[in-house]
Amino acid sequence: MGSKKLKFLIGGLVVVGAIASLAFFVGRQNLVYYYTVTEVLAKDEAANVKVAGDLVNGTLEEGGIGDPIRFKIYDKAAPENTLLVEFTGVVPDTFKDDPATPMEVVVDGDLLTDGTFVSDSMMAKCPTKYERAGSDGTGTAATSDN
Amino acid sequence: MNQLGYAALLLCLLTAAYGIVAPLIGVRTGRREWIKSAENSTYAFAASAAVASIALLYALVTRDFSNEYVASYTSRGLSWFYTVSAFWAGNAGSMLLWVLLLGMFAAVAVYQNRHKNREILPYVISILMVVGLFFTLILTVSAGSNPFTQIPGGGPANGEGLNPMLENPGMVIHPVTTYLGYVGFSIPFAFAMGALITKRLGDFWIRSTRRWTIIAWIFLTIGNIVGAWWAYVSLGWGGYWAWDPVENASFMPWLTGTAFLHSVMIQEKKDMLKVWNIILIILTFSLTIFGTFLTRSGVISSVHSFGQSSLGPFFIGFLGLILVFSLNLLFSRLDLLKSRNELDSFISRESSFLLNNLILVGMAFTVLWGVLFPIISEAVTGNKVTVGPPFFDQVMAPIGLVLMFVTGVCPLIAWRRATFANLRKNFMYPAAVGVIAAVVLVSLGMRHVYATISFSLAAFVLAAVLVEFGRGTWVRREMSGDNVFKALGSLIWRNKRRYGGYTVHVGVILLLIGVTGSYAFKEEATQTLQKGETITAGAYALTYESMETYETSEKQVGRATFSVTKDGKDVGVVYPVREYYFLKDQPWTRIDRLSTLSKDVYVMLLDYSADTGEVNMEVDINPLIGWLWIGGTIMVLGALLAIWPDRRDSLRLAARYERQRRLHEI
Repeated sequence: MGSKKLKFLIGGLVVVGAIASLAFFVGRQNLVYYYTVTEVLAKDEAANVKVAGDLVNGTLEEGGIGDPIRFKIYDKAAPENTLLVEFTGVVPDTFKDDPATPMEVVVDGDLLTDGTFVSDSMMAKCPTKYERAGSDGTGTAATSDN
Repeated sequence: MNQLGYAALLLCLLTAAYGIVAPLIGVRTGRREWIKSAENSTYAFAASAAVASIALLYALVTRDFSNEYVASYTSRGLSWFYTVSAFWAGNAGSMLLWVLLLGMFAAVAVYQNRHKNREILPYVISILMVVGLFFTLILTVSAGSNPFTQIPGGGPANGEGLNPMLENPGMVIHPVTTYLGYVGFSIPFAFAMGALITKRLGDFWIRSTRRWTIIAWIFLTIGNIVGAWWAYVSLGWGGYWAWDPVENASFMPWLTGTAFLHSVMIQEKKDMLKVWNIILIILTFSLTIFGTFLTRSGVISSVHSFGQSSLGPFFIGFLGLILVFSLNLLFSRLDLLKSRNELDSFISRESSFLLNNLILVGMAFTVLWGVLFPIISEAVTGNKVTVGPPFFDQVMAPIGLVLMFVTGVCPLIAWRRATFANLRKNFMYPAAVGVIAAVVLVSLGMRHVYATISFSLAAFVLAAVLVEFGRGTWVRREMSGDNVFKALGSLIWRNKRRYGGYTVHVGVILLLIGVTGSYAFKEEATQTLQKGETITAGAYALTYESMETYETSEKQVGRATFSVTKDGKDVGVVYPVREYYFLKDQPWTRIDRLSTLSKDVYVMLLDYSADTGEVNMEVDINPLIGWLWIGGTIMVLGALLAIWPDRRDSLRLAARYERQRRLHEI
């Protein structure tokens, strides 16, 4: 290998290495653990985690305009495990408490020692909302735009 | 009509299968009729896809609710404009759109090349029809992806209606342009593979697909920017880009496609980077398929794809097939791809292009890493871990700044080895402008490090481009004696490719100014207000004047009126709206904003009480965000200029083809 080729190979590796290590270290600082309700209940407290669960119908308590809302989510695999969520912020337009629409929820936030999960960011999706069950029972459609 | 549509899909399937096999038979037997017939099969494929699409459109506009797809995405109240756009509101329709666009592109590409590139063309047809067959198979075989599925018993009296989120002009532009971009890259990919198979590895495949590549790039650019604009004006969260997996899905091929556009210039000019170019087009095409997969499989949750579907294994299998086939082919041709030239100095045009490429591809891999990280970490450690938007912001910002710098350096630095005199001639004034900009910004009190660097680099790049335009105009004026404007006009018109490229760079820089301003200096305020109270955000004060509520047959509407003042002076009135759709049982926030070139006042009515008139408001101040849309528009116009038909250019190309043809006949 010529010395020029070697020079450019090393130069290229330096650039690639710089980008990769930047991505690696920044990535390590920004890890957000994704728990199920059961997993998060096993902890005393937890900061900056995401919890995925399903809304327990009938538990939504709405406060006044601008006040936090409270609701419970449960683990589909272990329905007896429920978590009380206190949410402040922009409630997604898709979110509602209606027995006819099962509601999957992902909340970001902290688990306090009293067992309340305090969140200021959430995602809500209703898996059956925009689908019809196909003849074989598999739904397919998405809300997507692209 | 539904039966006709389905029959047309089956015809697509047949013509695609025929189009794969016929050219190969033609090449093997050496009989032109087979190849001629294969060419015709692409036209038949396109025509069948068109018939299927017309059948779906017909079902949509005639509100044929016995068609499951129509019943799922439209309703009687929906305007015809959005009824047509419901074509691509769901899985099945958007797959059909893929097939339609691929058919049209393939037909045009085959027609264009039917007299030239004769050795490559049969393989191009074969490869494009493999892609066509894959998507047609999804439409016809995969459960639930058939847009012509009938509901037994005639269907409901009314459909479920379109998601209100999709009722935005963006819905008409964003999905179609993104798909046009995705599909467009399959043409250069097919030509690259054809070149590898036939061992005709000159730059012909690049020259004959240059326009295709740029057109695909233009559409992908429009798709991304209109997507961001749509999110901004319609989704009502104050931002425009959230590093959502589906946004990332169309950003990744844009990055590698941009790298490809640049590195092919090095092959054209210097006969270098041949292997790299093929890797880039393989990567870009694979990422377009991966992007469609991400959007459509529901494998990763995002705002775009709530539905689960059974398409995942199909796509992974197809993606694997593409990668194995194309990389294997590339390795078998490595010895034919040796370059006659080699890189000389770090301080040269070649090196700066290479750096630009490494950065763009590095960015694409960083994004891919962020997208795949949850899946990988779950597989390896069993923990589900994600990286959120802060990860992308923090990695992309420094890399993006280096890319900005390279944008300024790349077009002006000398080929091969830049001398000190060359550097001084081209960069003295731009560098001075950049330094002055930094000094002025810091002395005005700017303390945000990234923003200061970004704005200074923007000044440097804009000055560099300006110097280049100025110098060219000056020379032309001296030579022709024309006035400045005429000289500038003819300079650009006679070098469309070059000055089109510079114009794109100006657009990119303006867009990045918008990104920098809106990220670094965003201000937000959230507050609950009674009538007469005021919410303050930045220098703006918004006073709650009144609330109007009413109902239509479809929705309940609350519309608030706020007067806006800045430093005590009236600057306007905004009417944020909150709606509630009965049919979908879903609320919807319609934002309002006051836009100027320096900032947007972005107002959301989060909630209201119809009884007391109390409202919960969020107000965001987004500085410089308007430049994002201006910059995006300039990028598109610049790219259009670069591919505008140029007689001199096409004569040169025709002469090359002629020489090549004679060479082969001898």
